[in-house]
Order: sequence, then structure tokens, then C-alpha cells
Amino acid sequence: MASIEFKERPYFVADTDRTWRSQAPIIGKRQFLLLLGSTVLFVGLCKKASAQPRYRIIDGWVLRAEDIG
Amino acid sequence: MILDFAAIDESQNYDVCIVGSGPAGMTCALELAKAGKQVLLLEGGDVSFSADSQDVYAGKTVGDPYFELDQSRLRQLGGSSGHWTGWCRYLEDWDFHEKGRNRYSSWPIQKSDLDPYFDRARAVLDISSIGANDPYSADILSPHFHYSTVRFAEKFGDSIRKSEGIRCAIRSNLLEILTDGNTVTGLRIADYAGSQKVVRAKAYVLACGGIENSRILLWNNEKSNGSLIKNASTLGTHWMEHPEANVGEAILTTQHFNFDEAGVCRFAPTALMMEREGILDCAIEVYEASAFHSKTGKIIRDLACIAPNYSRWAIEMLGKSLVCGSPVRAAWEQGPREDNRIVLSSDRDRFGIPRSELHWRKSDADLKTVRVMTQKVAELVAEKDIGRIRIDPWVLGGESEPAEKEPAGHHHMGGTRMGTDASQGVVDADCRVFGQPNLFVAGSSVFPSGGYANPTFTIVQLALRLSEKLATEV
Repeated sequence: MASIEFKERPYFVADTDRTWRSQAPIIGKRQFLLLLGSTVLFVGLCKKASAQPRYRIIDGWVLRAEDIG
Repeated sequence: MILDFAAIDESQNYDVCIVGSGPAGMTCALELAKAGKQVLLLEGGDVSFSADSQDVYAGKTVGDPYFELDQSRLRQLGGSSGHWTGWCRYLEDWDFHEKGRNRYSSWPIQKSDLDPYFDRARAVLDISSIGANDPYSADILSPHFHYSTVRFAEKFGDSIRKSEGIRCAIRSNLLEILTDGNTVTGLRIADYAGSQKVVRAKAYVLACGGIENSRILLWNNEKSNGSLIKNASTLGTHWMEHPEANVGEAILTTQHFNFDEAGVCRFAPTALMMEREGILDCAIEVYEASAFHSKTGKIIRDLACIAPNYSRWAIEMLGKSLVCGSPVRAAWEQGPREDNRIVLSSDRDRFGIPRSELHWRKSDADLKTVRVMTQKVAELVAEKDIGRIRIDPWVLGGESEPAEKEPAGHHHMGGTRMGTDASQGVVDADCRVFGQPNLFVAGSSVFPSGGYANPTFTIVQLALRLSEKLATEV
């Protein structure tokens, strides 16, 4: 499996490192944080959805969500 | 030949004396006769039902509601095969291993030890084939049960009458096992008029059923001051049944269920699920019973309130392959426990022998099995969209279990369990009583655990195995 060599192709770098900054490309720090936040939110929502019981028991009947409407 | 008590020749020394002519005893006798052995087969009852004989089976039950003990078995030629339902199924690989973290649940033999007797057991029970399990999912499989119409007295009565090697003495009741402390030296027997005789053989087999084997050994051990069974710590204990109960009803599309010839579709857990959920074996049975179709209107009206989309679909399917109100029943494995046991009652039968007192209760672990398994099957049926199941409130834990007309399967197991040593059981892996080299026990009383399968098929396999062992020893 391919791995990302972080030092060779950083997504953001410290301001003090001019050499890396000049090579750093693609997205800035703000965009990266926005992307990271969105990803965390998406994963969280997915987990919450999957934690919901797939079946509901009403009056003893074991039903699917779409049965109920 | 079949003879009466008066015709028993006390001077003859038989190769093997078998007490009890049910599926275990009769199978043993026929196999030993085929091997050229002289067999005395003792039957306390008559060739057909007699009230005098049946009364010996009366006893007391303590604990959960259970059948009257004299209605749950038959004391006559052919034993309880004279009124059994006939369902047959073999025990699975995993039924021989420890389950539910209960060390008493494992057998000292494996399924592979009984497999060589599989085809011969099928022949005894007139079963053409037994299918393998069909998987429904990683958790649930569909086991096949097969129906036997064999009544042992009817099928094998003529063979016994004509046999040169078998003397089958009816109305001959075991009173006492005579022992010198090291071996069994004879059996004292009696008829209903009070006459007594002593019969002798090289080896003796108790094949009196899953309650009576314990009663006989408990009484004789007491009479011999413990010299018959030196370590009797497990004698009578770890008795088991297959509890049964109605667990709900179903609305289903029939073409998606594997209904057998009796209109029953069964679901059972895989070993993986039993391990993961900490449950024992269980069969959930869905019945394709048209007698319940009158409930269709009510079920669809009820569903319209809580699941309108499903109710609309069900209305469209009416008159096609939809069945409403199919009963859902469960029959499940009960873990072996010391406190479920046979003890000697203070009441005595006509021969002066204490009657059986059965102590039997279902534990929380037993009930967990049926709760988990019913819910898993209901979820599977919904997931595959082949129906919906309504689970009764008691199964979901909301109420106590209602009284059942049929609280169990009449499957009497344990009491003289098979163990690795005398502290673990009454008999060894060869069904030989520990410390008594010529005394053997046949039948479901030797089961250390019972799976969910009806026991007769395994009883016959074990009887064939025991007779092979005896044929080489005596």
C-alpha cells in the first residue's frame, strides 16, 4: 500500500520554514482545517446513523423503518 | 422369542441381560443377537399397554410445570416409541463441545465417534436421508428434521419372536441389581403376582429411559450402601429437557420458507452466533398452518396502525402466497445443572421401590437462549423481507412466561451422564458404569448435553455403538 511521505509533500508548514513554504502548494492552512472539520463531521454523522437500530419493535412486531413510513 | 416371566430359565447364563425394550434396549438386543450372542431382554410391561405396568412410572415433579411422569413415557414392549412423535435429527459437531461456559456440557466423545453408526441408525428408524443444514446467514441456518413412523414393537416384534438369540421376557420387573462390590453378579426380578427370580449374564445393560435409569441406580446404590456406584456425586443430576413454548406469530410469504412435510420451517443458530451471544442451541419453528388464517383481518388491521406501508403491501398480497398468523414456537437446549435432578420420593411403587421425584426448572440462561434467538430470527425474516414476526411480550422480558400445554418435548436426558471420570459422570465414554466393569447404561440418560435435536436418533446411534462394544467383550 502506498504511503504519504509527509516531509516531502507537506500540506501545510510552519511559517518559519521558508524553503518548505515555497514548495507547499495546493491548499492553505485554512482550507485544510475546513476540510478536516467537514470530514470529522461526516464520519461522526455516519457513525451515529449506523448506531441506530435497523429494526424497531412496536407492539412486539419486528419491523423495518420503511414499514412504518 | 417372547416369553412370560414364568418361562424364564434361572439356570441359564446369558451373554448379555438388557433391562428395557425401548429404542435403546431393543436395538442393542437385535444387534447382539446378530453377532451370535445369547440375550435376555427384560420388559416390565406387556406387549401392549397395561395399567399395572404404567403405574410404576407415576411420580412427582417439583419446580416448573411439567407433565405427569406416567404420561410422558410408556412402560410396554417398544417403550416410549409406542407414542413418540417420530422426529429425528442428529446432534451437531458443536453439541459435543463445551457451551455456555458450562464444563458439564461437553461430551467425552465427539460426533465423529457416532458418525460410523449414522447409516445404520437411519435404517433402524426407516429414514431415507437426513439433509445437511441450509445457511440463511452467518448467524442462522435451516436444519432439516426427518419423520420416522417406526414403533419398535411393531417393526421388530416379529424379529424378536423368531430370533434364536433373544429371550424377551415380558411382565418381568427389575427389583435389585446384585453386586459383590466389584461386578454385577445378577438381577433379582419379579412379576405382578409377587414371584421372584434371579437371572445372570456376563454383562448387564440398563435401558429403561431417561428417568428410570436414574431411579434404578439411585435405589440400588442406596440398598448396596454405595457399593454399586462408589462416586455417586453426579447420579440423578444434570437432568435436562428441551423446553418448548409459543413465542409469537408471523405474517409471511410461503414460497420463501423451507417448509417440511409437516409444514414446519425451522431456524437454528450457528456455532458462531452461540459463542458470540452466549446462548445455547435452539430451534425456532414457523408453522405454515392454514388453520390460523382466520386471524388475517385482525393482524392486518393491527399492522395498519403501526406499520401502514407494510400493511398496504400485505393487503396487495392477500390471496397470493401470504399467510397471516402462523404460530412461531421455540424448542431449545437447556444447560446441564446440578439442581435439575431425579431423587427418590417417599412414595413407593407396588414393588416397594421409591418412585421418581423430578426437580426441574428453567434458568435465566435457558430463557436468554429463547429471547435472543427469537429476536434474531425475527430480524432475519424482516431483513430478507420474507415476512414479519410478532414476538410475545414474555419473550421480550415484559411478562412472566404463560402456562404452556406442552412445556417441553418429553425428551428426558441426563441423570446418568457420560463423563471423563467418576467425578464428572456415572458412565464412561463406552457407557460403562464407573467401577462396575460389566454394567452399562443405554439411552438418553447418558447425554451430558442435549442440543436441540430430538434424542431418539442419537439414542439409536449410541445403542449400536454399545452393542458393537459388547459383542467383542462378552
